[in-house]
This record gives sequence, C-alpha cells and structure tokens, in this order.
Amino acid sequence: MNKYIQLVIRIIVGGLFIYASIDKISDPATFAKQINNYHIIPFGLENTIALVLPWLEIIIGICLIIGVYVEGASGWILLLLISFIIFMVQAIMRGYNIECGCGLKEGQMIGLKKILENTIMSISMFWLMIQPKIYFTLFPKTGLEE
Amino acid sequence: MKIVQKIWTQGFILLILSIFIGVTINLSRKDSVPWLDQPLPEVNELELILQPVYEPFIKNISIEIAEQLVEKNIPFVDARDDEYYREGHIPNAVSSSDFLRLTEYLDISVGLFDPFVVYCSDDDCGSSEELAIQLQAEGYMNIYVFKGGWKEWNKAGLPIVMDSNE
Repeated sequence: MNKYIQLVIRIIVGGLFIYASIDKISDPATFAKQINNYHIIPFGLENTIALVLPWLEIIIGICLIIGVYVEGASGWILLLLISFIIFMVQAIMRGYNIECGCGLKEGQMIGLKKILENTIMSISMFWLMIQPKIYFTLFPKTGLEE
Repeated sequence: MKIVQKIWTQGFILLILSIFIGVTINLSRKDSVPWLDQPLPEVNELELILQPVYEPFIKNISIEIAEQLVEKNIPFVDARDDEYYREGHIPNAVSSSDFLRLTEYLDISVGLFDPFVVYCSDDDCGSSEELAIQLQAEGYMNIYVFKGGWKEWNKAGLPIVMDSNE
C-alpha cells in the first residue's frame, strides 16, 4: 500500500512542478517581474532566479515521477515550497495584493489557499524523504546494494 | 546520516544541471534576459515619445511627461484590478482586466508603433512592467511605464475619472 501512496504523491507533486515550470520557461522576463513584486530579492537577482528556477522545477518534477534522485528532488521541492510559503506570508504581512507567480493559473493571487496547498505538499515531500525505501524507480537497487 | 548526505549530493547535482541548462538556453534565446534586473531607462523629451518607433522598447516616464501625454490624448492602460480602476483612474485610461479586449483596443487606437502608457498603483507594484512585457510580446513597440502610477497622480491632484462620471 505504502508504495502506491508514494507513487501517487510523486506523480501529483512532480506533475504540478512540471506544469508550473512551462510558462516560466517560455517567458522568464514576466516571471522575473512576478518575483520582483515580492520585494524580497536583493541586487536585481530576480532575473537570475527566473532563468534557473523553472529549469530546476522541471528537472526535479521529472526526477520525482520517473524515480531518479528521488531523495534529492523531494528535498529540493520541500525547500522550495517552504521558501514560497515564507515569501507569501511576508508579502501578505506587508499588505501586497500580488499575483503568486506560481505558474499554475494566470492571475492567481497569493493568499491562505496557496499557503495551505504548499503546506500539504511540503508535508507529503517530507514524508517521502524519510521513507526507508523508494519504490518504482528507474534504476532500482539490487538486493546487495540495499 | 546517510540519507542527509544522499539528499545533499543529489540536490547539488540537480542544481548544477539546472544552472547549466538555464545558462545555455538563455544564451541561445533571441530575446535573452539579462542576468541582473536593470531599472527601466527614463525618457524626458515629449517629442521623442510622440514619434512612432520600429524597435521594441519599454521606458519609464515621469509624472510631468504623463500629464502632458494625457493632454495629447495618448492612451493609458491601467494594470490594477478592475475594481480599483472603476473607483478612479487617469483620464484616457482603459482597464487591462480583459487582455483580449485591451489588445483589440490598442490595435485600433495606437497600432503597433505609436506610444501608449501603462501604470499601476505606485512604484512598488510591478504589475505595470509585467503588463508592458506581455504587451511587448504581443508586438507593441512603443511602450512607456509611468512608475509613480495612480498614487503619485492622485497625490498631485491631477484630474481623474470615475466610472460613474463616464
């Protein structure tokens, strides 16, 4: 049963990350402006983030689904989700009513719903990270390696 | 302990791979993005703004220039939410809430080469630049951003239009 839960979580979260990255990859300039709206990134680094982050998202999404470097990919997803939550909370506290720039749906604003979604995904990623064995991987370990 | 080391190692490899792909793809793009965000250049000559241009750019304008452009009936685009637009906006401004309608309006009123101005609530909002980039991707060449936006316009006591007045 556990292995099927793992697989479902990997497909849902990995699929969301792949889908979210597509718009950002095709239009990094707009994504950079969306990052800029949070007013938290210093030295004009939002462009650098907008150029690298979507590729990281698509790679970790693919890795999670196909079962390559699952621990590293889920670690990155957990780190990113926690960062997104912090970004949104600080923006809400400073009174910014801005687009989340999540890449899932155009015009989606930051808010409690997005924070809750990210929290649920974070918990599932943490659960995945601490699993003693990852199932359905592209290069399964031999009994000897385990 | 072993799992932590595994996460670090795999995470590092994934990051290096992402940086490599991001750099390579950006270098090969026609519309490559600079690695560091640069502020928009400002234009202060009205004559320069009123000329049609055939090279795409986005530039910043001051409130003095914005005021003169309103007097010259240059279209403005309000990048704020529709409810704020209805509460009050700069004369000549149209709402950007319906993007298709906005592009239809711009096609008729300015075409691709004549100037128009985009603004949002204040110099902190960012959605005016975001919209300007989207419009530039649609082919509009001559786009100005009024960074001071609604807040600066309102503070200066300049004329405004409310939906009930229209």
